[in-house]
Amino acid sequence: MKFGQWLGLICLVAALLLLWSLRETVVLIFAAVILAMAVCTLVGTVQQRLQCRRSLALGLSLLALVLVAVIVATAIIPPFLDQFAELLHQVPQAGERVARMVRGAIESGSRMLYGNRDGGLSWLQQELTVSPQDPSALTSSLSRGIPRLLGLAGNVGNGLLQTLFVVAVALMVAAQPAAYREALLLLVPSFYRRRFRTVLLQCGEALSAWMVGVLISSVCVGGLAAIGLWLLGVKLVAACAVLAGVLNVIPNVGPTLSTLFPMSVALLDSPWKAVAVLGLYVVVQNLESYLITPSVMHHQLRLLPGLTLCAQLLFTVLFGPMGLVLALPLAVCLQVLLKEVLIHDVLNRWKPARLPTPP
Amino acid sequence: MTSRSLLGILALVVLGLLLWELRWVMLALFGAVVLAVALDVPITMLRRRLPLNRPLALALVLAALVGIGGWLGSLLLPDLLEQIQQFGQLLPMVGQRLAPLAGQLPGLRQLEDQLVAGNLWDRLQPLGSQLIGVAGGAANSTVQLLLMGLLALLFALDPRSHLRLLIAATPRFYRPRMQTLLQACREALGGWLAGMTLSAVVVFLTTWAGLVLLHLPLALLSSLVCGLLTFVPTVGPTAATLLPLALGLLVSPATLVQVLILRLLIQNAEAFVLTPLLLSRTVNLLPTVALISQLCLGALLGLPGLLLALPLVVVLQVISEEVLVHDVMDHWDRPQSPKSKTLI
Repeated sequence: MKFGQWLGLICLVAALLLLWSLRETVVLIFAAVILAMAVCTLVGTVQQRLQCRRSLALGLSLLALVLVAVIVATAIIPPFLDQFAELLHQVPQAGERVARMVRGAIESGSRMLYGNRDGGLSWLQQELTVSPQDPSALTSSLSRGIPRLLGLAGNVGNGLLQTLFVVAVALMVAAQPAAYREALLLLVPSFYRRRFRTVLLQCGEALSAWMVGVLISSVCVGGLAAIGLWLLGVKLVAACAVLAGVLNVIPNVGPTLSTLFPMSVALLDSPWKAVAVLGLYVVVQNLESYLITPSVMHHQLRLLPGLTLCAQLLFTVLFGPMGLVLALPLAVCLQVLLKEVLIHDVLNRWKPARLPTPP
Repeated sequence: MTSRSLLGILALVVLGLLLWELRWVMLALFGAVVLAVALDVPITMLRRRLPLNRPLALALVLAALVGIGGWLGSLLLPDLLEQIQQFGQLLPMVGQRLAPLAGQLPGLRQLEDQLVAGNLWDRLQPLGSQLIGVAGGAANSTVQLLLMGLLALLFALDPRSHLRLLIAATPRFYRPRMQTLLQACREALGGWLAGMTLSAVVVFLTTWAGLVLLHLPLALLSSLVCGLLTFVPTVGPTAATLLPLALGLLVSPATLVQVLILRLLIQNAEAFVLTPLLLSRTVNLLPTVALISQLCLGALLGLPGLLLALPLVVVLQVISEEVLVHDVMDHWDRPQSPKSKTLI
C-alpha cells in the first residue's frame, strides 16, 4: 500500500469514529430521511394521478397531511389520551388481581395436598403479596427533587426540539430530493456514480413500498382488533385498537406490548375474557404475518423473521430506543445496499488472485 | 511499506489526536480567521480604491469601525442605558405576570412548597459552586475572546505571510492547488460574511421600525439582539424573538401576538428570500446542511461550535468540493488490472 492509500484509510477511520460519536444525530437524520421518503411517495402518487407539476403536487400533499393531522389532533387524540390514562390506571389493578388469583390457586392447591389444615404453602402466599401502590406515589416521587423536575422538563424540551428538527429536515429534503441525491453522489468515486444512483433509487423504492405495505397492514390489524374487542365487549376499544395499529410497525416487541393493555382491561371484567383477548390477538397477529403482509408486501421486501429480530437487537444496542423504532426501515435499506453493493458488485466478481508472474 | 511512510503515518495519527485534544484552541483559531476575513474584506475594497499600504488601510478600517461604533453609541447609549434600566425594572414585572399562570400548574406549587419547607440551603450549595464555575468560565471566555481579537488583527495585518506558511506546509506537487484552494475558501467566507452582514443590517432596521411602530419599550435593544443573532441561522432568530416577546407580554397579550407575527414575517423573509438572494452568487448551501451541521457541531463542541457552525460549514464545503470531490473522487477510475485489487 502506498502512502496515499494509507492516508485514505486513516481519514476513513477518523470519519467513522466521528460518525460513531454523533450516532444520535445520525439516527435523527435517518428518521428525517424516512419521513421525507414517505412524503415523496405521497407526492409521487398525487403527481401521477393528477398529472401536474411536482411543486403543485407537493403543496397539495402537504395540505392533505396538515388536514389529516388537524383532524387526528382534534377528533382522536383527546379521547385516546383519556382512555390511555384510564388504561394506565387499570394495569396495576389487573396485576393485583392476577396476584390474588395466583394466591387463591395456591391456597386451593395446598388444601388439596395438606387437607383443610392451613399452612404448608403459606410462605409462598406471603411472598406473593403485592404491596398496594397508589398512583399518587408516582407523582410525588416525580417531583421529589428540583434537579429531577428540571431534567424532566429538559427531556421534554429536548424531545420537542428533536421532533422539530426531524420534521424540518424531512420537509426540506422532500422539497428537492434530487438535489440531495446528486450531492450524495458527488462523494462517491467517479467510476461508481452511475451504479450508485441506481442503488439509491432502489433503496428509495424499497422504502416507499415497505411504508405502503406497513400502512395497509397496520390499518388492517387495528380494524381487526377493534372489531374483535367490540364483539368481546371489552371496554376502551378505541385506545386499544389505535395502540395495536401503531405498535404493529415494530415487529415482535410491538404486538406483545399491545396485547398487555386490552388483557389487563379484560382481566378486571373476568378472567376468561383475558384469555379470549389473548386468543384474539394471537389470531390477528397470525393473520397479519401469514395473510395480510405477504399479500400487500412485495416479496423482495420480506425479511426473514430471524433477520428482523437480529436487526432490532443490533439497532437497539447501537442507537437506543430510537433504533428499535427505526429498526425495520433501516434493515430494509441495509438489505438493498448489502445485496447490490456488497454481494453483486464485490463478492460476485471476486476472482482468485493470480500469482504474480516472475519477470 | 517503507519505514519512511510508516513514520509519516504515525506522525499524522499523533498530529490528528493532538488536534482533537486541542479542538477548543482550534475553534478559537478558526474564530480568529473568520474575524480576520471580516476585517480583510473592507481592507481589500479600500486598497482597490486608494493607493494605501496594508497597515494604513487596517488602521483606517479600525478607526472607521471605532468611529461608527462610537457615533452609534453616543447616539444610542443614553437611550439604551435608560432602556436597560427600564429593563431591570420590568423584569420582575414579567415574573409577576407569569406567576399567576405558573401558579395554576400543580407541579410548580409543589416545588414551591418543597422550597419553603426546608433544607433550602443544602440545595443551594451546589448552585453556589456552579455560579462560581460560571464566573470562572465567563472570565476564561473573555480572555479567549481578547486573544481571538488580537490574533485576528495579526492575521489581517499580514495575511500573505501566514498563507505562505500554510502553503509551505503542503507537499510540493500540491502547492499550486493549495493556493487556489485557500483563495476559494477566502472568497466563500468573505462572500458569506458580506451577505450575512447586509441581511443582519436589514433585519435590524426592519425590526426596529416595526417595534417602534408597535410602541414597544426597549425597541432598540431587542432589535439589536435580533440583528446580531441573524448570524446564527435557524437557531439564532428564534432565540432572539424571545426578548421582544417577553416585552410584548408586558404591554398586552395583543401586542405579544403582533410582535410574534412581525418577527415571523421578518425572519421568514430573511431566511427564505433575502439570504438566498444575497448568497446565491458566492455560497451555495443546501438548506438542510446548515441545520444538520449546527446540530452536529453543537453536539460535538457545545455553544461555540453552534455559533461558528455556519462559517465552518462554508469552509468545509469548499474544501470537500475541491479536494474530496474534484481531486479524489472525480479522478478515481475503475481498477482495471488485477494487481490493484484493494477496494478502499
